[in-house]
Amino acid sequence: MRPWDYHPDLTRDRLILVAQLLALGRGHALDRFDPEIGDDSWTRGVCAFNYGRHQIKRAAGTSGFEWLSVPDPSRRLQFKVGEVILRFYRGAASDPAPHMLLPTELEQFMLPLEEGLPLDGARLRVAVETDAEGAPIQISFVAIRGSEVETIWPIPYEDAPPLVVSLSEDTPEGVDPGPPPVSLADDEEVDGQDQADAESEIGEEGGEKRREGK
Amino acid sequence: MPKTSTFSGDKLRLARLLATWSLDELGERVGASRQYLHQLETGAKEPTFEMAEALAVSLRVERSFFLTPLSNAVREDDCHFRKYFTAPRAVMAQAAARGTAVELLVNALEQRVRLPTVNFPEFAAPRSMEEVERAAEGARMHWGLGLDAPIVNITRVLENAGAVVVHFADISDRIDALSIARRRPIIVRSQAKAAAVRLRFDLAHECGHLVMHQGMVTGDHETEEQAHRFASAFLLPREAFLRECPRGRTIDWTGLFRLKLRWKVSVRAIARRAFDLGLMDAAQYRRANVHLTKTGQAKSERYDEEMLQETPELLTSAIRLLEAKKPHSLLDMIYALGFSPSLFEGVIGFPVSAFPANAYPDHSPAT
Repeated sequence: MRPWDYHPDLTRDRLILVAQLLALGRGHALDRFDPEIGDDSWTRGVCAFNYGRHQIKRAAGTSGFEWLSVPDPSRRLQFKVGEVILRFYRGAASDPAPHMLLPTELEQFMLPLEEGLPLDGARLRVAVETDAEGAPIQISFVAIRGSEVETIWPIPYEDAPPLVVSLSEDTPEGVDPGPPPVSLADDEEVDGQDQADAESEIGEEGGEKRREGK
Repeated sequence: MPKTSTFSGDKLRLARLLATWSLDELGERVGASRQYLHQLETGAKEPTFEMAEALAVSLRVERSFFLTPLSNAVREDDCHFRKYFTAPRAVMAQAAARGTAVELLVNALEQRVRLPTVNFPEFAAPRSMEEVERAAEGARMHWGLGLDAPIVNITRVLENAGAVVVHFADISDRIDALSIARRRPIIVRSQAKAAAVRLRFDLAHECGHLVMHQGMVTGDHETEEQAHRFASAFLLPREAFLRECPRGRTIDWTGLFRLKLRWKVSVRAIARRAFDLGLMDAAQYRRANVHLTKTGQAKSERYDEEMLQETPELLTSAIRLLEAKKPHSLLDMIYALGFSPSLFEGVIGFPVSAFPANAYPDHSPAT
């Protein structure tokens, strides 16, 4: 089965964005990893998890992520894609850690969403598999039923367009010099008002003169 | 048959190149041999009155066009071409002819309209990339653009500095752009590649030639690399770029596209800038290019369509002013140039409403 077979809220594009957020957080952790100041695989793992969690929390509810929410922002992070609860972990998609197999309280209290959907009873996870240096090599959607992995769907996030978030507003904007000025060479043949009218017309042709803008 | 006097072969060649025809193609239209037309162009022969008329009609000029000599024509050596090595000579000659036509027009226009004073700084013949960086920074400071903010509209920067920028839709895509270092610089840009970010980079590249390579023959690897580096440094000054460009072991595509939207420079050029300034190593730079190619962004990138094309305004404003205030002066100027209405509109790239129906009885009015 594929994610959207479990629930239509779990679209391909949304899962790609979730995977990109997690990869972004992990990338930040790897960028800052420095054994010279005492980093090791434990601190890398802690940072990668927390930075990924931060990206999810930060993106939730913002433009383009209206479908993403975080009902449990604690260190056990639980987030929702539409109406569906998910968690993420680092490790093999086919071999989740025991605590990932168990339903959380929130999951236990979730009522069956819609009849006819196979979500009922399944726990949904996002698995981040990494190489020896901690860089993500695959991020997958994982569905667990009972104690068994029922579905693994590799999320094609690397081939997707990259995330772009809103621009920072504390950087200076450029100066627009405005349209190049032109005037009649022989001013004597055009009186001042005509000249002003003409230049006004040219200004309108050339576009409104702006001193600042993007 | 009566013969015309003082027929200018150079003007015939200019008109033929403006029409983008070969000697053979023109010969087919006027019923003359390639050899004969070549002799006309070199001045070895003069045409009959009827032949001069046929040439004028075919080439969309007035008969009088051929009767004045062409002084100071733009030669290919006067031009800084992008894609110099791959562009055929014929295409380069056509592009130079466009430059000549624009210069004829601008010279005539300047007798009637005041244009911005030419104000280009000169940082001649840099000997290192560090000097190129300084030239770009110097140009930014010279024009009051600072070193910490994007250039909102590079076409306006160049036109306010007195350059004439023109776009031609029908120049071969084997030339991206060319600049002509004359008393008033002219920059001709092909519209074959329409992405706004690429157009901006090409204009910055040509600006680099005008600032650094006055009087030099360009097109070799060194001067092209210098102009390329100038364009990078002009659009992305290193002080601000070092502050804003993301860095790290992994490529931050979000950050790179954020820079693209802010600075209006392609991600490919941003990656190159990051590599040049040591923010990306060779492996990362290669990975970035592979990713762009693999994701179908080699020629057209994500967000290209969200960036508005810059359009030249100087020539348009000058002609519109003349058209509004002194339409007879505009017609006199066009007649003196010897351009037909349709050729004139082809050179300027937009229609003019000032042509009365009987202004040019020998030719069809422009549509």
